[in-house]
Amino acid sequence: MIPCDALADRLPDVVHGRATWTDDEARHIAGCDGCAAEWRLVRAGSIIGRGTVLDHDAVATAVLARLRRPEAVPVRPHVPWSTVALGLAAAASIAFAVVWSRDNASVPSPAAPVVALLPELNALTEGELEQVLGLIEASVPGEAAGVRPAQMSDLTDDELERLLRSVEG
Amino acid sequence: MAAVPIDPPSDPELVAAWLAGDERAAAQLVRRHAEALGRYLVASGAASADLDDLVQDAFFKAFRALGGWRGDGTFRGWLFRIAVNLLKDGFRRDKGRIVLAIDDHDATDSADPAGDLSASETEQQLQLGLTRLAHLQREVFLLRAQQGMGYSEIATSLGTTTGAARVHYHNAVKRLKEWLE
Repeated sequence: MIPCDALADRLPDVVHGRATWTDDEARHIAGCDGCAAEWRLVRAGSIIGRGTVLDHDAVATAVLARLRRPEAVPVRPHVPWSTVALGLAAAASIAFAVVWSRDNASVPSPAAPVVALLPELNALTEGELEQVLGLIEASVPGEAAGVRPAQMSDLTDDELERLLRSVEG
Repeated sequence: MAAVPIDPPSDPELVAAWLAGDERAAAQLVRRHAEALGRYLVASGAASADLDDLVQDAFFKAFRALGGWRGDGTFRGWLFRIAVNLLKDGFRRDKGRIVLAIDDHDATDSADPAGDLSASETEQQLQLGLTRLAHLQREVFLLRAQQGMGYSEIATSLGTTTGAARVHYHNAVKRLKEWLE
């Protein structure tokens, strides 16, 4: 006696030519209404959509053409000038803090000034960033604030690196 | 001297060749799987007019993402998974519209549709029956019966487990048999 369940799982394999029935199995399917119905169903399932027309070569050509194109670069988000101005003000205050801490410390402190990361500056191009740095240089507070006029060129390498790192985020 | 038959390269070999820059390998993978993928997409409800684009998109995305593919499962399973997701996105955009590729005169209205139908007639009834199945049951049935996939490959294609694929298949068969009877 062949259990129907044992045959059911193999129906698709037989339909697709990866397995064959033994004589006993073939006899069982011919005489069992349930298995015969399932056999018809799976056979019909195997040919469903067979009229589908697809030009393989055209598809292959089109896919390869698309693959040869460079990947699209994500569009840079537009950063409003108000955001840039905010970043500019924050960067200026960082520059001020760096210069002030250097002028007021008799011994160079190993602790870096607390810097705020400005992720919005990440979106700036190199040119825009340079423009911002130029503006920082021009806007660092001068003698009126009790601090001698500062220039970016006055900063040590370490200070400049810290400043740039803070600006670049 | 008798010519020694050369086995065609396997999918993993073609994938490796493509990753090494061989475009012919990619073209061969397209030729090998495009028709089956097209049949599957049509049976799953894709509109014929969208078929070329869908198949192209599926291959394009599959090849582009192959670098990050962990290699578990088969290339076919990976390709079908991408195609299934593209189809789902399309259905979402079209608010669940499923296209049935059946002419009016093909749909029988017999009280005994399974009586003495040829495989082709059963196919027409089956297409109607498929639309009545739950989404996963339909997908699993098509991958098993139409594509001849094993449960493990079906699980890869649908992002489910082998056990779940087996259960969905048997439920689908049960419901379709009832529908055809």
